[in-house]
Amino acid sequence: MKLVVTIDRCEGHGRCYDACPEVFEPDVEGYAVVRDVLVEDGTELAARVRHAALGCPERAIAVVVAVAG
Amino acid sequence: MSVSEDVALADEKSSTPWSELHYDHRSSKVAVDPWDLWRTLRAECPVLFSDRYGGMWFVSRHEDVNRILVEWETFSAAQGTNIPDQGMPLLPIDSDPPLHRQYRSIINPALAPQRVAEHASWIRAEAIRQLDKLDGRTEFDLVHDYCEAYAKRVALRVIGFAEQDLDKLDHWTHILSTGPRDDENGAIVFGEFYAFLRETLVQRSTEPGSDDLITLVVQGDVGGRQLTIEEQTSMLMLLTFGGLHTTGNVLAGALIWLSSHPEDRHALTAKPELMSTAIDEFVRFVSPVTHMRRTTARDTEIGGCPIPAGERILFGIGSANHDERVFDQPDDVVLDRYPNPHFGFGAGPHRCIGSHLGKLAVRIGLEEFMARYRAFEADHNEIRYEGGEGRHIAACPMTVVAR
Repeated sequence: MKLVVTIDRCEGHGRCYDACPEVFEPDVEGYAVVRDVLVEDGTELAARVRHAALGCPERAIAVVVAVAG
Repeated sequence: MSVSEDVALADEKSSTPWSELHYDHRSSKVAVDPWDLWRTLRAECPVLFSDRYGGMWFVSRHEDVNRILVEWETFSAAQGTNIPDQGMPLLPIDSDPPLHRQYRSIINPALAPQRVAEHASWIRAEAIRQLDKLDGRTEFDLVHDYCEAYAKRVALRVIGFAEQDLDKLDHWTHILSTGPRDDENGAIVFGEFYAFLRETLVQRSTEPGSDDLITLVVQGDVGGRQLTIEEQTSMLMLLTFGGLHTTGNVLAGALIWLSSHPEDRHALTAKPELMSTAIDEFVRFVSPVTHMRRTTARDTEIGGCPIPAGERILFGIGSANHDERVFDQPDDVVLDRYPNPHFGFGAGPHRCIGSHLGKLAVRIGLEEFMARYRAFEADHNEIRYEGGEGRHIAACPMTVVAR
């Protein structure tokens, strides 16, 4: 199952794209956006996405497992 | 109630009558050694009224500071973000969304991390140049001779000032940051500073083409309207304050910590991947900007304490960054601390616009200093601090052994 990663009210601290640049990247102003990559739950990458979300000082990143179908 | 009864009542609750504290964030006590006071206030009086500067509420807990930073609809920046007031509103920080974001977008792209990274090689060369100047010396002042000399030149160049302007800018920003700026001398210094910035902007508007922040400000617009010269001057003033009085302090505080913690020095050298968390940890630990202000835009409460609209709220970034409710070992540097929800760069819409540049400059400054010296020792008895919005490390004699 894949993860759905969303960012709400990013303020551009940049902690997420430092911690997990495979999934997060800065836009032209430095605010974070989620890259268009598939993240399978249970993988090492999924663990790194959750780690990055934990580090957000705005608590702006939500990581949920997609409902199948 | 008489004063003696008041004190007696307070004594029943704790040993200190908090109403008698007259908390002053610009006092030497808060500049030199605020930690015990802040810890006690967090525990016993996390929302404290002070009669200083015409009256203000000092908020010291992380949870409450977080809300003040993020909840901009209640805690407005548009009436000013300093106590006492600066000589004019500083943009974009002294404004609220959505206008605030329009001002920010003028500068944001140039300070986004991918653009900041392009400066790394000359920033490193600047650190090496400053260290080369100290060649052969075994003692110098860490703050003046290295950290500030280096960090201020980095800021100066990114903003777009000439190097020979540094002494003047340093003089003005120092007085307005740490001195009693709400007096006659403050007004004179502010006038000189303002005139210089305005002249710099007018001059740049006739000779565009430089790749720096001054050029962006000159060319900037909000909602299709070009910035007025007053808006431009205001933005340049804030960039100058923010650039000149923060980064060098984090670097100095980090090197002072590392001088007395060789195990951390070795860890950073052996495992450079620690740098990412370590830099944020140094920003938290040092907290160069310790206090900022908002004004309540409506009736609210903070930590259960009712606060009416129109009150000035002084919030303790330094205190929040050392709040034991959030951080284990809050008064120690923990190189791999994670998560690290510090407010050294603020939070919410006003997050420090130069945070990515500041972090890069601290990192390079640390790397080059540690590469140059195999041992270094700060004289802890001779470290001097100055107060203001920040807690400024003003001097620190350092003894070094070159590699």
